[in-house]
Amino acid sequence: MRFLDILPTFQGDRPPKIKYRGLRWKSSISLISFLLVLLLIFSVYAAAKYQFYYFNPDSVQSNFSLLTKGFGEFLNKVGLEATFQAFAQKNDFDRRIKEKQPDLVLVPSWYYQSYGESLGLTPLLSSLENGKTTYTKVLLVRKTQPYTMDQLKGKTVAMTTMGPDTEELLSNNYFNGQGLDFSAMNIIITPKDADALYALALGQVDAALDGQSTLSMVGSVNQRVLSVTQEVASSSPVPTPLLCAMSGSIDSVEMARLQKIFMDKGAKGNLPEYMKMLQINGWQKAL
Amino acid sequence: MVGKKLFNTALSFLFLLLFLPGTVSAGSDEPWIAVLLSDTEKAYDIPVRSFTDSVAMEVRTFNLHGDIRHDPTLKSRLFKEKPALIFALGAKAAFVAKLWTNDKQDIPVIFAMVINWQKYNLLEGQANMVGISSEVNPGNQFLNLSMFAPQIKRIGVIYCPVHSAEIVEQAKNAVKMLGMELVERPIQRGQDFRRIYRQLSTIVDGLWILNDPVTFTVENMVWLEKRCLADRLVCIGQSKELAEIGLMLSVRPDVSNIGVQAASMAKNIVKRGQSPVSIGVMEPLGTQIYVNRRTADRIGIELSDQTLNMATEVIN
Repeated sequence: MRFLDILPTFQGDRPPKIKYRGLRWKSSISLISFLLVLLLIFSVYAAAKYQFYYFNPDSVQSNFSLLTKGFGEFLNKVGLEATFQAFAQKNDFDRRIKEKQPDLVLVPSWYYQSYGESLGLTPLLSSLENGKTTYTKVLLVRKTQPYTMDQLKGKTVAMTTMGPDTEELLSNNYFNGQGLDFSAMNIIITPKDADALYALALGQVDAALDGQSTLSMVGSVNQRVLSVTQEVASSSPVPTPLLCAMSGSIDSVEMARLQKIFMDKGAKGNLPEYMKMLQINGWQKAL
Repeated sequence: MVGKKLFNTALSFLFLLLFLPGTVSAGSDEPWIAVLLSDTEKAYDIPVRSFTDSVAMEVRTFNLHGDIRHDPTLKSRLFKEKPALIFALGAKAAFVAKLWTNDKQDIPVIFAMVINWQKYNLLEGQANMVGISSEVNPGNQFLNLSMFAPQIKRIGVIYCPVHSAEIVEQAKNAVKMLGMELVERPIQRGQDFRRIYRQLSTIVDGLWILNDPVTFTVENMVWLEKRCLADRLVCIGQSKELAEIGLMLSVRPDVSNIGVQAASMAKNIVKRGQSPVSIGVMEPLGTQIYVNRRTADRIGIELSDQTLNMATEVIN
């Protein structure tokens, strides 16, 4: 091999000298390449002005590489220097947000309610789902085991997390006055909204709580999955995910600029890919 | 004099507070959970971390290091203070947890990451054992198949009854619910796989690949990838590698969610009093979906943007 082009030469009684033909310049090239790669990595991170984190288990979007690409294209287009990272599990998101504080986050409204104060989140924009800043969650059972609300006590219900106060939030806020006590049900947390629906359809759980958009999406592809289920109750309006800034990292002038960037792009005819992927059709200033 | 007496009384009281059982620390009455590991395996890191983060109870970890005899004090250390529940990861830990709680069945055990849990008889004779299996419900695979390729109606499966009769039986209900038909072909020897495939491929439009030791061999899978392309058959399997070698779809358990699911089950048992017997062994509810887009194109399956968004990864 040329890389091992090390030729020993003998000159009288002196110990053999080793000539490093080819090795020296190849080493230099390797070193320069290594430094260039380091410089490139450094420049990418140095150029990224903002760290942008995303977490939303209720979204039908599971393909994070596509989402990251879509978001990257949007950020590039609007000239925003940012790196984007999506999280599937709440515990990973929680850990990361504590280890390396981002500048911007797109999170469910319950996340903001539970952790907004302790993390110093300032809501900038509410996402629009079908033109609204709220959506509905639906409690479903199987048609073959049509439990009523009273009968769901002690039964197993699959759903995505709504944070540390999931049961209270559902019983006292979103299903208030409907006679549903979620703290008396056995709740199993699924990573995605669709997983809860599938678990119900396959008889792995007794009930499932799903967002209306997930049901519409699954129904549009395969109506049979929905046809084995029936609705028991539907929630009062749940606020859609919020785009928040971390306090201290972005000043009020920059916040206003960011709001404008996102709203402008959302308002124009062609929606950016990332918005289509997240089923967001616009942005509205958060109150 | 009175002051000194008071001082001594206060001191004695403090001393009693410190050393009386149950008053060692303020949190000693709080339920805690023992995580028992079969060994130091990287595969356990993610479920243990997601379990610890999600369970909202104190977690203490114990490790068998691959052998029950490795640390003779492990059992006494684990039971020194009664755990509210044991979360056992791996076959050895599950088996040892069952053995150690045989006379303590008021301590529930959740096992996970046990391949072929049925062969260890983990539920037999004990009412405190529950678990999460290592395989996705077959129905979940067909459900995903119906999302990615709704036109598929007849699915073939080649299997060895000794290893896979139960899972094939389980699949029948799901197939019925989705309006599909399962065409079964049992075989006894791996050599018969290709011959049976040739017969089957003419009457089905999809093939379900099982992790069956008789049929699931590297040679068969590599051969199958070429045959399925030629026969324009959709294949669905249970590992990312299958999608990478060229089969169209793979659905496997989301390992990071196993800890979250176990934490949900632990909370239901410890805090809500759910009976372990009513749970049994659940399938993993979180899945990862891998789609090979090139294969889909080549066999004429059109993938919509909606379904591509549902895939964990699209292999191009």
